[in-house]
Amino acid sequence: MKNLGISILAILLLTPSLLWAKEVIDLTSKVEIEVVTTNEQGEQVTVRQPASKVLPGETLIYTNTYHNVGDDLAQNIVVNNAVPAHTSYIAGSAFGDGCEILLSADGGKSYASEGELTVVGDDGTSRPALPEEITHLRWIVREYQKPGDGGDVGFRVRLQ
Amino acid sequence: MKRHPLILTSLFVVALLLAAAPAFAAVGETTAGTPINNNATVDYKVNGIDQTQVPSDGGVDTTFVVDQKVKPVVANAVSGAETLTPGETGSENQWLKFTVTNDGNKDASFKLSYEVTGSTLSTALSGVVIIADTDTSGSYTAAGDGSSDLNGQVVTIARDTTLTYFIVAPDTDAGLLDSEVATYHLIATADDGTGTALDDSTPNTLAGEEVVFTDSSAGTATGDGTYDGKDSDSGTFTVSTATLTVTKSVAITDDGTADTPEELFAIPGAVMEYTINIDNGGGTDATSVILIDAIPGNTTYESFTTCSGTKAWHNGTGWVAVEPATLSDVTQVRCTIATLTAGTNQDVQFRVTID
Repeated sequence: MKNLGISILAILLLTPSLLWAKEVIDLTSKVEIEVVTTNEQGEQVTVRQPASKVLPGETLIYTNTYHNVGDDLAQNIVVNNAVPAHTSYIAGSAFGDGCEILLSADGGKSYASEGELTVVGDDGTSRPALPEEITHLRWIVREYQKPGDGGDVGFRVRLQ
Repeated sequence: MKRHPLILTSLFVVALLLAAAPAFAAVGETTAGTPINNNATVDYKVNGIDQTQVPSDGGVDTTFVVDQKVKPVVANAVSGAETLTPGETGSENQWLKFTVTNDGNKDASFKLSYEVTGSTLSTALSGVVIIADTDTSGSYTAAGDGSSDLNGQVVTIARDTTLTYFIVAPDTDAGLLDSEVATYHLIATADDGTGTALDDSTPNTLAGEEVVFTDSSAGTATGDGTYDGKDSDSGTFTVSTATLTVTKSVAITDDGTADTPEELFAIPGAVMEYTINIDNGGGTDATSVILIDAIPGNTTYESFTTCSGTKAWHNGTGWVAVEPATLSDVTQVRCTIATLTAGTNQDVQFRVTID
C-alpha cells in the first residue's frame, strides 16, 4: 500500500499537468430563505430553510462554501458569482470573512467595492450603481488556504 | 509574482469608468414555474500557478422553482343600478357591479358564486345570475353581455388582470316594499380549472411549483378568511318604491250662525271642509297620482278648494273639467297630481254643505 502511494506520487511528480488537474479547492453553493418562527421558549427566532417555498418579493440567501480539499496551499482564491436571473441584489448583503468583496454592474467586465461602484447614466455622467444593477459579485480571499481550510461567502437577493 | 488585491481593485475601478453600463429593465413579478439557477466559480493558484477554474457543485446549478402565488381580489363597485323596483320581469336595470383581479404571478382559474345575507325582502329574488361584462362597457346590458350565467362556473383570468362581473336581478316580486334590502356577495375561489378548488397544503419542494395562497385580507362572505385562496365583496340591493299614505279629516268652517263667541256646530246648512292628505313616504317619486272622493250622503258639494294638480268634477254622467253650474249635480271630485316627489305630501280639500 505504501509502495503504491509512493509510485503514484512519483508519477504525479513526473507529470505536473496531472497534478494541476486535481482540484484542490471544492466549491459548493446553496440557496436558503429566512423564516420567522416561534421556538419552544415562545421566542420569535429567524431560521434558515431550503428555498422550497418562494414567491416574488421574498429574500433569498446564497452561500458559497470554498474548501481546500487538497494537499497543497491554495493561493489567490477568487470566487465569482453572477446574480441569478429574476433576482435583484440587496444592497450591503454581500458577506465573506477575510475577503475583499467586489461588485460588477456590467456583466463581470469590471469590478469595484460596494459604494465605489459607478455606472454611466443615459446622460453620460457617472453615478453610483443601484443594487438592482449589480450583475456579478467577486470575493478575493486575502489569506492563503491551507489543506482543510475554507470559508463561506455569499449574498442576498430579492426574487422579482 | 504576487499580486496584491488592492492593486486589482484599482485596476478594476479604472476599467469600470471606461465601461458602459447596461440598461436595467424593470420587470414584473417572476412567473410561477420559473427555475432560478445559480452557479459560482472559484479561481486559485497552487505554487503560483493558475489552476483550472472550479464550478460550484461540480457544475450542477443550485436551482429552485418559483411557486405560484394565488391571490384573487374581489371588489364591489358602484353600479348605479342597485335599486329594485317591485314587479319587474326581465329588467336590465337591477344589478350589482364587481371587479375580480388576479393578483398572482400566473394566469389562474377562479370559480364564481354568490351568497345572500341580511335580506329583509318580503319575497326573495329569483333568477339572479352572474354575468361577465363581455363588452367591457362597465354596465350590464343583455345585448352586450349575453345571458350566460357564471354562478358556479370557472373563469380564467390572466395574471395582473381585472375583469368585471355583474350580479343581475332581472325579476322582482310585486309585493316588495320600500326600503327592503338584500346583500349579495360575489365570491371568487381559486380553482384548478376543472371545478376543483385549489389546495395549498402540498408539501413544498425545491423543484416543484407549489400553490401558495397569499390573499391577506378576509372577504365579506361567510367563512371567507385570509390565506384561503378565496376573496369576496358585497353589494346591496335596496327596494325603492312610492309608498302612499292617505289620511282624511273633516272640519266645520261655517255653521251659518253668528253666535258670540263663535261656536261651530254640525247643523244643517253648515259648511264642512274635508282634507285628504296624500303622503309619499317611499324612496321613489309617485307619478299620475289620482285622488277621487265621493260627496257624502246628506251633503251637497260646495267648492273644490285645494288641488295642486288638475281638478275634475263628476256631474252624475261623466267627468268634466269645469265646475258644474248646478253644484248639487256633483257626485265626486277628482285631483290628478302629475308627480308626488318622494318624501313629500300634499293636501286635497273640498267643501260640502250639510243638507
